[in-house]
Amino acid sequence: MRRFLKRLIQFAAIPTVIAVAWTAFVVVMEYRSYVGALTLAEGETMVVCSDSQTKDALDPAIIPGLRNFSTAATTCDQDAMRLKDVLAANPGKVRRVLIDVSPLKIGYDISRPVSELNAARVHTFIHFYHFKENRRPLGSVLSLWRDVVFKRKFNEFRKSILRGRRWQSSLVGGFDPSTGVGFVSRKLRKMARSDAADKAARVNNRPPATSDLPLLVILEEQVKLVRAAGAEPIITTMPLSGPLREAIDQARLTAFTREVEALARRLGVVYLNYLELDLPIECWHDGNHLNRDGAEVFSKRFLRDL
Amino acid sequence: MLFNSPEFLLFLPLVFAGYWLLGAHLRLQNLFVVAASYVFYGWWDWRFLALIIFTSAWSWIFGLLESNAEPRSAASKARLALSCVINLGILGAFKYYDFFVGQAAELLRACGFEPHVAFLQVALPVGVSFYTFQALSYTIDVYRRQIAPTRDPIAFFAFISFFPQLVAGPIERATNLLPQFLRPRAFDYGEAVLGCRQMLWGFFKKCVVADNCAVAANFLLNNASFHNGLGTWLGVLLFTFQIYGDFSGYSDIAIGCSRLFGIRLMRNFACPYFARDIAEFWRRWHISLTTWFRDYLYIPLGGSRCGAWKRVRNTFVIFLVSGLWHGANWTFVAWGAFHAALFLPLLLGGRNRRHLDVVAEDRALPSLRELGEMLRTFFFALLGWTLFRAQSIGEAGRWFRDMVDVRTFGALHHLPRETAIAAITVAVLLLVEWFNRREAYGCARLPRMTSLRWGVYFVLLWLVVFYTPGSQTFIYFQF
Repeated sequence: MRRFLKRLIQFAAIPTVIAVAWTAFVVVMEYRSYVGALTLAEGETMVVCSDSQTKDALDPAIIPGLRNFSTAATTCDQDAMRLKDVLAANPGKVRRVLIDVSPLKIGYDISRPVSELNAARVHTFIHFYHFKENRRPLGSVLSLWRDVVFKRKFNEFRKSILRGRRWQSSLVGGFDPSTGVGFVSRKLRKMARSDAADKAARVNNRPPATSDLPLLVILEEQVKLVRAAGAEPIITTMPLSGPLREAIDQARLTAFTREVEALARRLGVVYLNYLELDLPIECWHDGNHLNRDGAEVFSKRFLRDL
Repeated sequence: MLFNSPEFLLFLPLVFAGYWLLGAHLRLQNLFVVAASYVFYGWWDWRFLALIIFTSAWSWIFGLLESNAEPRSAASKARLALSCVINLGILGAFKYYDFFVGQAAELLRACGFEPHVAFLQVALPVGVSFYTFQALSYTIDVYRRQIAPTRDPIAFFAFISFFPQLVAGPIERATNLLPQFLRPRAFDYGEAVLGCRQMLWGFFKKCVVADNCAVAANFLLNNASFHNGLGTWLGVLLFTFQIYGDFSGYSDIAIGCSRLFGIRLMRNFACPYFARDIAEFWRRWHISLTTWFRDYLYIPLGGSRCGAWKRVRNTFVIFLVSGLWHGANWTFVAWGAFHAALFLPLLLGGRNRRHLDVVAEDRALPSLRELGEMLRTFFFALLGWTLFRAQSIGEAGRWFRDMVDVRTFGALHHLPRETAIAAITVAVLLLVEWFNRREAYGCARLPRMTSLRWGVYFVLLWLVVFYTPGSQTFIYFQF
């Protein structure tokens, strides 16, 4: 038995040492490159960390000094964590921070305030929902390790930050007059239709808006965070396409606007709300993403308001 | 609990340590095995523990009653019949009741009646077919006086519930496994090392080969837009290796794991895809079930030592029951009938025992004739797996239609990356198994040099950790 255990330990020692060393190396390198990806270039003083809607809408080529750190399919707390990382990676450099708040995010699960989340953590927040949903901590730790060290999901995330605009020139923007829903191509038309319908349904099916929405809690946390870093927070809401705006329950949109405006007033923050902005139908490539032309129109308008 | 779950990574060392710490106390050690096995089983759903406890208790009591009875007396026969009814009744209620009631209701509706049927709609307890058959084998062996009934309930409960083979076999015989729980066991270094090696090979087959094949096969067979002939062929081919890797991988893990505890389980697979005819295939595929049906069904029916018509009947009975054992669906029955139809010409022509040896036993490569025979048998097995994999006879029919209609053949785009991994690992699996076809399992023969041997272990370990596409359950759990 002793001989067996000794052999087993000897056998296990080699891959364990390699795995620990490799993990340490990857984590350090990835962390460094992540921080590198978040570092502002010369002249960049304004940042925004939000989702694909914002990524497509604000063109840094038109808005001087803007660095758009937005990535697709993020929730409010993920945006807030990335903002926290951006501020930590650029001490004293950030002058203005655009904090996007969208009624579409009401449907997401955003149950944890920013203060509870640790800053380094991109690994954690990628997998945060995995932990919560599966309730299998051991399995999650193993898959987390595998994803980070081997599959390099961390790396994918960093790339998505660096990739810049999400527009794809191969996609032809347009609007389907028969349904009123935007589409990008024949292939994605069906997807765009269901996308707008899903988004509207997600918002409409939520419980009635109340002043203790987690969304607003996170928004307030972000404002405090930005002020603590010595920057000026500006709250914005990106425009929605007409059909999507009409599909969402108007009472909810009104309640949402009222809540955010009240919060902005209370905190003394500027709120640039473009929810009611009517952009021509040609500006959209689906229900809530602007195309290249739309981004140009909107960015110019935004710059003027700023 | 699944072998490929992280929980098992903690469970196994704990049970291993506890088991050998109790090595000096046989009854305590057996009790520990029972407790560990119930934890292993109850991890999935503890409520079904009652079922396994009842099956074990009833079979043990039957043995006690039988120990004082006259051999093959009327009372003994009645007890055996009752025992079979109880065990098969449990299996029937959980596994087949809803299916047969549903089919009967359909039939009555077709005849113009309006039957009011009540379905049980309960989940199928994991491994119920396996431990029921194990309990039945004890009952029948005791009745036949092939084994003395045990008076030790703990050893008997350990025999029924021994965790490595509890949920997906091998279906052990009391004559092999029970005596091992009745005598003290000593730790054997060589056995433990070989056990670990067999487990590692099993994990490779399950996690790397079968799971990658599963992703690609599911993609091709479940995705309606890929229903062209070429996609169906590829999907079925991948499923052929998925089911082999999955089930034989489980068996290797179970056998290897048992060796860590000083217990030897029977072999369940012997390179079935190298079989030269369908009779040899069935001597090499799921050996524990095939021999079970042979000993407890086929031979009592008269086996092959009877007239031609009875041999035909017996063959169909054994294959149809074997198909139905896999699940309550006509596709399994059709699968059994398909194999019976392939087996009959061999049996009636007296050619079913032509290939009792290992293919190319004294050569490195097979002859062209052997290769042709192996490919032909593999092709038939693949056609059989098409029926097995389909959710309904209609779906199987659609797949067969696609497979023969060359007009539906089209290019395959956007295949998942697991397809390439599956293709490479299947090639590795076949290669390793070919050169180890005389051995008890895939990588039984390894270089003597420690560094090379360990290199193989590390590569397997690396593949298992990094090339597993998420945790997939074992196919045979549902049976």
